[in-house]
Amino acid sequence: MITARRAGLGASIVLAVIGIAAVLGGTGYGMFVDGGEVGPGFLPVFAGSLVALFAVLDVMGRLKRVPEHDPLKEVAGADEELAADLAAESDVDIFGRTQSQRTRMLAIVLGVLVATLALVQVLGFIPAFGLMLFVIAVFVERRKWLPSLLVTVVTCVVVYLIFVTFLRVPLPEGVFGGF
Amino acid sequence: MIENLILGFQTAFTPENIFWCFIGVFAGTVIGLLPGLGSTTGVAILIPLTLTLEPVTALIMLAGIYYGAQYGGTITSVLISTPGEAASVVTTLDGYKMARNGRAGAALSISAIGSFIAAIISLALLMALAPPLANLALQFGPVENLAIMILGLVIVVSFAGGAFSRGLMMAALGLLISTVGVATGFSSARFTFGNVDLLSGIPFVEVMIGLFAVGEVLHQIRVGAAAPIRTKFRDLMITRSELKRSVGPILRGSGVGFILGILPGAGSTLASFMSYGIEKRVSKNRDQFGKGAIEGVAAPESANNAAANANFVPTLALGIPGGGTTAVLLGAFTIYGLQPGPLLFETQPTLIWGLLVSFFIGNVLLLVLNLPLAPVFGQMLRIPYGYLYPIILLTSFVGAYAVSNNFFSVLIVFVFGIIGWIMKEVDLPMAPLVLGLVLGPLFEKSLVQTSAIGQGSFLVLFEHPISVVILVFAALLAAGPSLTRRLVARRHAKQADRENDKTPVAH
Amino acid sequence: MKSRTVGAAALGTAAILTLGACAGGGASASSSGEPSGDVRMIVPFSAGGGSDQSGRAIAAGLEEGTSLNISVENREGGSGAVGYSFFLGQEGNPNYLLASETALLALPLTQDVEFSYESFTPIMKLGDDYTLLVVPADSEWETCTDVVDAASSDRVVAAVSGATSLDEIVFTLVEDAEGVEFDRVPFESGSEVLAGLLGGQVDVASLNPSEVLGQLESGDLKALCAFSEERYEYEALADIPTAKEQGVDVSFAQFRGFIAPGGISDEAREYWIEAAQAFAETDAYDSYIEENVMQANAVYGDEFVEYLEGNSADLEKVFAE
Repeated sequence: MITARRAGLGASIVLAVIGIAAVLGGTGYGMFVDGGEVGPGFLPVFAGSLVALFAVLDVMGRLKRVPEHDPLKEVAGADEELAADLAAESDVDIFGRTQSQRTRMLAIVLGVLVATLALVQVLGFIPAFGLMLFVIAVFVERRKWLPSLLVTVVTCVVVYLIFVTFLRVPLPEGVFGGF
Repeated sequence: MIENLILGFQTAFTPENIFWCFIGVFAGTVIGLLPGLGSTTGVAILIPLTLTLEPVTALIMLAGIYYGAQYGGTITSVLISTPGEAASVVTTLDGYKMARNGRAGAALSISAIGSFIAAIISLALLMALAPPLANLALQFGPVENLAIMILGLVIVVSFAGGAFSRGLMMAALGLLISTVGVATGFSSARFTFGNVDLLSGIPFVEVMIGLFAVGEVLHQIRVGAAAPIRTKFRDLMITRSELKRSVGPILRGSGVGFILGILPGAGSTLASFMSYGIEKRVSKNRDQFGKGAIEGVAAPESANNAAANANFVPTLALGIPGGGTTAVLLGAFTIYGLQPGPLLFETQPTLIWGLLVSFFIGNVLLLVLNLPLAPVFGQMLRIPYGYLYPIILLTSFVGAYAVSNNFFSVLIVFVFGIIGWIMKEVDLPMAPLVLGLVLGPLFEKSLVQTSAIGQGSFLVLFEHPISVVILVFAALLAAGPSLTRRLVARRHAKQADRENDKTPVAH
Repeated sequence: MKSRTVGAAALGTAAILTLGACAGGGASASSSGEPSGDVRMIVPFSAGGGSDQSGRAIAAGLEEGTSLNISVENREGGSGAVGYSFFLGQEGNPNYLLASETALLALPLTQDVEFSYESFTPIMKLGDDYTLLVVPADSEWETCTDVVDAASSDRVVAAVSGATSLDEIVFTLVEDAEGVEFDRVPFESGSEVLAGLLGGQVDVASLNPSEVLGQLESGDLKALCAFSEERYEYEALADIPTAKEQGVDVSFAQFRGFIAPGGISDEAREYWIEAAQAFAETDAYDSYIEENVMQANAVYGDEFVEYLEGNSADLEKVFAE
């Protein structure tokens, strides 16, 4: 698929840049110390140059590879969006969700996760993540709210018992105090 | 030897000790099931609970926790692709695939069986040969360790198979990530950008949780929920042919694990990766590796358990810990007023032999507890994914926090979760990255030490006989993959011929 | 042995009691400024090491004498910099303690960190830990002078367990005093140094007595001299001459103790000092010192600060180059 190939290219280019940056940074730390012994910059330069080298090879490999014969692409021609849509419709999961729906779900889950991390300081660790569990189950996965609530409560209690009561992990607390 | 064994059994085989060992195995398994909490953390956290017990009983319980936690980590590796420690990263490759094929029970059973056999073999060696082996291990200084590391990397390179260069790229990236922070022997911080939390480097446990657990969840959401794995209970049981296929990998894994486990440092992670790499070369089911080959579970699991036991060779015989967990255990020795050191075998025979026998009991208990439970654990996958994945997210983040009580860990998990998802999308392998990250500090340490010993020259690598042997071996492997492949292929061809003569084999 | 069992029992009971009780009350400061409820003892090194053991011993000892519940937290990394920097962020909070040692002074002198010993409230120094110069039993050297002489003409490879560690400091002091030079191979911990020494990868090492007692007893290693002011009183170590006796005028003590965050109220400071003094009276304190083969030398509050001042000035000379 076009997008996957682009993402792969992008990732390799990013890696190449990281590798080169590491080589430059490592040189700054000093590859060798007095007497020619290995210094703090040696491994960054070594690993960085390997990353950069293989990333460049990967970019070349990905560019060179002959695009596979793709019937969808022939139908859609140069229209990438149409091609993506066609690809999505041919790829429906067991709940009848299309690719684009699932991509949206992923975005929502990531958003919920970020919100949860922000809420940890306010609500406390377990309440924040319990809320996340409930929200994902009910609003993203469209489960019935009562069983979802039950699963949430049971999970939170078990996690509390194991981590706080048994292992004495001082989880961040919020407005609900100990829990 | 026999006398000592009898003494050991007399010491360890009391109902009270067995009870506490059982509690230890159980508590350890529970801890190992939690993402991020492996045996080191488990033992460290639970030491206070053992303080009320007699020294022998306490150490027996701690040994139980050690084994339990390792197996707990294996369970999560197989079921939800979340390794508990670096040594079970490889298990996710085929174990998780087996689970998704509905063979979770078989994967868990073979790791229990493989671990058990490996433990028995390595314990027998430990009991018989600990002092001489420990002296041999002392010959492995920085120079020899560097040679081992090179050999390990060469073997592991064979992993990636087709995507050879991508595997290397990820291993190098892991090495690079491992350089964040302050390295052995230097006082300057690297790539920390003024962040205090980064001074200690990027912790691999959190990276592992992020890449494997969170990354996998995000990936699954995007590819769409697979049909829940509805298998009959019977399907979760291991079959006879699977058992037969696993014999070789278990024995080879035990050998590799034991040898690497004796050496302080390199230990179980490298052992599990190496044994997987070896199986991938010699197995006749090579093409199934990465798709759910039972050999790919049996070998690394046996290797890391053998290494875990072999770790006790330097710990008990020399007072030098072989790994993270044994270091914590050694700390526990002093709490009980025992002086770790070469005289422990002579001054504390009751304790040492009691401990060795209790390792044996611990492994038996683990097998008894987990073999029947393996299919039951497999049933966990029947939880609808809509509930399962937010629960995985929750436990991953709580577990990450619990590792060091630091919110920074949580952020690392999040960041590497996203990185892991992207890697899956663009088809970059994750296991080599973890290997690089884990080996990075060890590799760098032996580099620095070797160059200090050689006063700036790496030629010392060729002056030490042991390292020369290892390097020659590595060179043979690197230069002659085609050679070995040809040899193996010829042998397999012969075997196949023979089998074909008897019955037509369905593939 | 008896006191240990009692201490262990007390600790265990405390652990079990707190299992039930810890559900309530977070680590928050009470209004009076005195610590209450849950207290955290930060250990800036990993579990199992010397710092960890001293942190856990102090926590258990303080718990016994107070109504507090003290939990130990390892925040390792950057040779201790991570733990101390975290501790810096707890300014004014009397519910935090840190198990401190020489890194408190060495880090500000060698690394770009934001704290110095003046950023915190020193409470108690438990005692001093010195090092012994050890060599493999089959080594030709018999005294520290032999080693110094050898270093002036040949290459002597010394193991050090970190860029700011006690052994690095000691070797630097010897170099300065005698005008010789040692080749260093860096290791990560005392036990790694031990392995290097036993395997013949290095020639000499300077380790705490508690780290080598087993090897000395078994005869695998021999101690040439102690870098302490006076000989050890422990039976097993009493025969080891000090470096000074052999004409190498070097002694350096690593202190172990605990500190509170800076900016806490006077009441809180007094509270901790009193608790520390009570701890020093217990059997737990004695057995800690004994188990770790240290020299008991407890000082509190202002005296501890004075000690740190002097020690810091000494170290400054070491790291000046």
